Amino acid sequence: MAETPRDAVIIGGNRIPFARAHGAYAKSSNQDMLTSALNGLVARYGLQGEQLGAVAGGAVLKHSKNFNLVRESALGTPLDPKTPAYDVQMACATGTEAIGSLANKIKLGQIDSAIGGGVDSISDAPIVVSDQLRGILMEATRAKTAGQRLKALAKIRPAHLAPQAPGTGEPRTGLSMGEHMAVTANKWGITREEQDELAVASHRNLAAAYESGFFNDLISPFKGLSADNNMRADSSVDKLAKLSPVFGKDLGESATMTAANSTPLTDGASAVLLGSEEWADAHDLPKLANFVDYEQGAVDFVDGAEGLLMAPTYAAARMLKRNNLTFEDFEYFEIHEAFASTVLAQMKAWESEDFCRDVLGLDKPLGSIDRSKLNVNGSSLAAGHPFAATGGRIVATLAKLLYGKPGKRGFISVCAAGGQGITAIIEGR
Amino acid sequence: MAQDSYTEFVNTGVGKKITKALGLPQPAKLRRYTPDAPLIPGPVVLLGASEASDILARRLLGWGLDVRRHIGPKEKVAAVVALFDTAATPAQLSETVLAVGGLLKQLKASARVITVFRDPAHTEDPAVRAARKGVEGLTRSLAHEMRAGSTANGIVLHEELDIASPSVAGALRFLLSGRSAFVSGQFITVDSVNGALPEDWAAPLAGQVAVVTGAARGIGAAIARTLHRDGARVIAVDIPAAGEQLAAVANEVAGTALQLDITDDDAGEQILSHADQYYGRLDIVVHNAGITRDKLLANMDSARWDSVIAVNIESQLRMNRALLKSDLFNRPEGTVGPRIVSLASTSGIAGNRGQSNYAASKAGVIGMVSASSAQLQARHGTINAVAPGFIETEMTAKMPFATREVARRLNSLNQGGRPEDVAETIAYLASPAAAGTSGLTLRVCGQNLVGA
Amino acid sequence: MNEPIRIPLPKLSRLYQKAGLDAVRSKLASAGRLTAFPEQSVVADHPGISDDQAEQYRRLLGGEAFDKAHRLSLPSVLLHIAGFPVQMALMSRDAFPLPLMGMVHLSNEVLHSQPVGAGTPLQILARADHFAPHRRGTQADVIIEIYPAGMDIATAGPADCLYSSTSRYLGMGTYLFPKEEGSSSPREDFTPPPKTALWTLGSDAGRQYAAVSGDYNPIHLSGVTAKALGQKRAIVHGMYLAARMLEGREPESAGHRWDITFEAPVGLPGKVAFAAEQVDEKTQQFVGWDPRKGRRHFSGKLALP
Repeated sequence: MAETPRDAVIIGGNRIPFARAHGAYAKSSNQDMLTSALNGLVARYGLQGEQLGAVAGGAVLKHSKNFNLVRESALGTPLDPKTPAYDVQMACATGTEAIGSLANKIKLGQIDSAIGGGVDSISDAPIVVSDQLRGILMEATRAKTAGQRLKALAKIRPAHLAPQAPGTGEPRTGLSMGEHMAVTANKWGITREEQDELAVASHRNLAAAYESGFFNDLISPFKGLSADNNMRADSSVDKLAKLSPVFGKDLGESATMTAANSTPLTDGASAVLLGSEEWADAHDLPKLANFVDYEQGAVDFVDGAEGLLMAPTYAAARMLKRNNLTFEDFEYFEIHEAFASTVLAQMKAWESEDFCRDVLGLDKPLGSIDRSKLNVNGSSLAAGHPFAATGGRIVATLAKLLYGKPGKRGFISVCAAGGQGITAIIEGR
Repeated sequence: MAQDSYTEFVNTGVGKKITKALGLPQPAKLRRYTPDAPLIPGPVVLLGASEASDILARRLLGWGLDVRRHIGPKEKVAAVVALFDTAATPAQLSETVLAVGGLLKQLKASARVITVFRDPAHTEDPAVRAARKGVEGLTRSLAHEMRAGSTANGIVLHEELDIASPSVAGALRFLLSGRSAFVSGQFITVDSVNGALPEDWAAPLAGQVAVVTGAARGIGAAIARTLHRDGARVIAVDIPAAGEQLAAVANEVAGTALQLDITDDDAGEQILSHADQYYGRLDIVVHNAGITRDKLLANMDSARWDSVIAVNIESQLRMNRALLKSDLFNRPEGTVGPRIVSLASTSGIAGNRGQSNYAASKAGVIGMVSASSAQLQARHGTINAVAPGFIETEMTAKMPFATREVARRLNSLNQGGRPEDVAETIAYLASPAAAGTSGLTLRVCGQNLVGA
Repeated sequence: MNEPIRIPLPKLSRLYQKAGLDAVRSKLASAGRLTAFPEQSVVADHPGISDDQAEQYRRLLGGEAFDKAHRLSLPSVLLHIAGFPVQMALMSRDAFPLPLMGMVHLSNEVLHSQPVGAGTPLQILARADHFAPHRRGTQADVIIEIYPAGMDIATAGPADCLYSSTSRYLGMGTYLFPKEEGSSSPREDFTPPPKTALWTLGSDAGRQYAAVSGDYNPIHLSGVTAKALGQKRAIVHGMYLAARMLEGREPESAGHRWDITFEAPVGLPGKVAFAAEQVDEKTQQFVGWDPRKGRRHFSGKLALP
């Protein structure tokens, strides 16, 4: 890419352990969780009273009262209240987008320091009233006389009172993400076995990373939980083989996606500290890695022209071309495991001569990714995936992996609802 | 923290009458340190005629205190400093001792009696050593006789030490102040001329960087707060599982949180590298982290024994080796070097039923501290231990009521101490004005009967 | 063709009442013979589809606003809705040989030549054609043509027609032709393609579409009213399925053709699996089916100009 005036440095990160929905954090709000993640980050890096350039992040499922979620959370920390904060939303890529755009601001010299992150709660998801009831209530609010108000309220019927939970389905197709992925997995011929193997590797890698103390300075506990409670260190392909498919059941025998090779619904929060080189030095902070570049992608998934979660395949091609890099130039790959098949389908696409030539317009395939470099410390299948919090988990994990490996690169792929996705490059220092 | 509602009750008008009539213990509200309160609220009477007396008088006057050689029979006395540094035979103690005795009825609440004498171990003359040991005995007894939150302690001087040394002043000030509220019947030995008096007594640790292990809660959190209050920048260390509380403590003291298992082989190196990265220096290490796994020895399994030994003493030995190899944990310039303060326990002194593992580990700390002193001295540093008695913490709050109530009253102050009392003593030992004291285990126990 | 009879824009509720009466006194014996098919067409002036109705439609289908910034041109199904009362008026005329009750919508074919905006006054012409035998009765095409207001329809050519639609209906059990003439087409096997969407229809889907379209045929409204008409459950309007099939896919400048063929009705509440497939650059085909039973509900096609 074009020469940048200065580096955006990843200093470190903090997240709370991810908890399966309706479990350890059942009574915690998005704001509680994000504040805790930020507090842990402030404590780790001694940022009390510090005025940062910005704090940005978001949540995918958000109460309307949390219209200023990130600002409210930041105000709950010892950061200087003069630190601006704002919400960002790009579905499951929210955290990655927040971090990427903050890195850009640092590179441009607009700000010197920032925290990017995200949070999501399934357990405290916003329940809303039906459209009809809302219409009636708003009409009553607008009424000028008691009579008009009564007349409006008289329209309420019992059926209007049923609360509506947010669906996980894509608004334009009505299909859940899993159903979308099942179609894509089937199209790319992703087998049950390779999905289960990937899931097992995710659990084992994550457990090994915990065991080695890798997360000691990346996670701080919350509500008595000190490790991701979805993790199953003793997971095995044999055990997973016994599960029945939960997505793509109409594919019959060809259904491959189970609860174990799909990410569970999870609660959690993460935050990543970024700064310019000068700012990090002036504050005696470590410099783990540089946030080099990132690319957003989107695909036309509505009528099935492309798989819902395949946008990163396109973004990667553009990003690599711009940076004049190939997969061989990367030491580590962090591909968000929305589903095991998501990772496998993306990798198959990059390996496919036809796809890379006809669809991505490349001379040759991007090539295959060495499994020993993939999600080496586990990913979402094991850790869980609190939508907006995943970006922060990945960036901090990868930055720490690359610390002390100057010039070695890491690749990030995060798919998102709405047929979108982000890829990113970070480089060790 | 456990609520000592009895002490609160006694300190109400009605409560005092009732409990006195019933002959129940009379725990007083202790005078504790706050940076803006006077060092000592009233006259200080200096007893014992010697050259040293003039030097100390000038020191006390320099602190703005109301220093007296004599005092009228109606006046209240806040502190008595009794000098026995020239006592050559037990018979020579009489005059000063009786003068002290004459003042006891005039003592204010939370008053101080401080005896100052030379180290008995430093003389081979039987009469001299008998006189010095005699002062020890009378100081301890005096501590038992103290009422209304008053304490009696001694300062033990090295044979050759100039009484004008900064660390004598440091010890004196500590014992006079509210910092020593729960220290009674104890002796602070001053062995060297090392040390420096702070520019600002309210911030004796200004500019220094301190590590506190086990800082997430209880005594460790109190230590972090106290060191921060005294001006230090704090690295709060605790196991990863305690990270949420640890972050809260680190944020409260504007320090940094380091999640670390101190039994890791490279725990010392990790602490050093954190201190180097974030602060570029390391001055004070407080080994506070500890665990209990109580069981009668007959029922002890290896997991309980080994984990207590590993956390409470082996980890400290290993971390100290790393610290003493490091250039960061060193101040080559000046006479004030790095500090290590370890948490021992009265169990480590007196033993405790069901705590053979814990007592072994804490006695081990006492041994480690005394044996490491020379190594630290090479860096102008010190290493000391603090042995808390019954302290009102989350841990002691879980004791059965009767046991807790007995344990609480089993000392001369008739009450449990607070985590801050332990922290104050640690902050004192970590301060530049305590550079002359090393290898010591100082009890913060209100003169607990156990192991006295 | 005879000069069309000009009628006032009919009210659907009246027509349904009449349909009910007709069902009782049945215009023709089911075994009767038809001698002549009605050639008379009807035409009505329409003041134009209101902004309110367009907004109601948008709320139901969830597309872009018809606020002249996001969308100018109305969707085909909304034009169908505008023409429906005229269609019904034609079909409830005594000359129309099939009873309105028990009429089944078999398919619809539309050429949407010109864009039509909200508030544009229109003339709507309805005529019947192609009466033919069916194995379960008699089928007929009802054709709607929409012209700009004020145009002389007698001299109008195909280029003047904004929109034309052919709705094929089956008069179930009404055999206007000898029974043996009925062609019985064997049911073809259906293998569902990979679905691209899943529609979840609530029990009120019929009532909601009725509120927008004015088509309060009881068979769509509730289980009780549907049972009265011999259905196990309420079924959704066929044109609602067409509307969802087309939503977001119609070109703003019109000129497109589309068709839909209905098979098994969609019971309410229910789910419809849906697949859209790009046949060529300008053509998409669609199919909707029951995701549990694998029975096809409809298939359709959209051809862009």
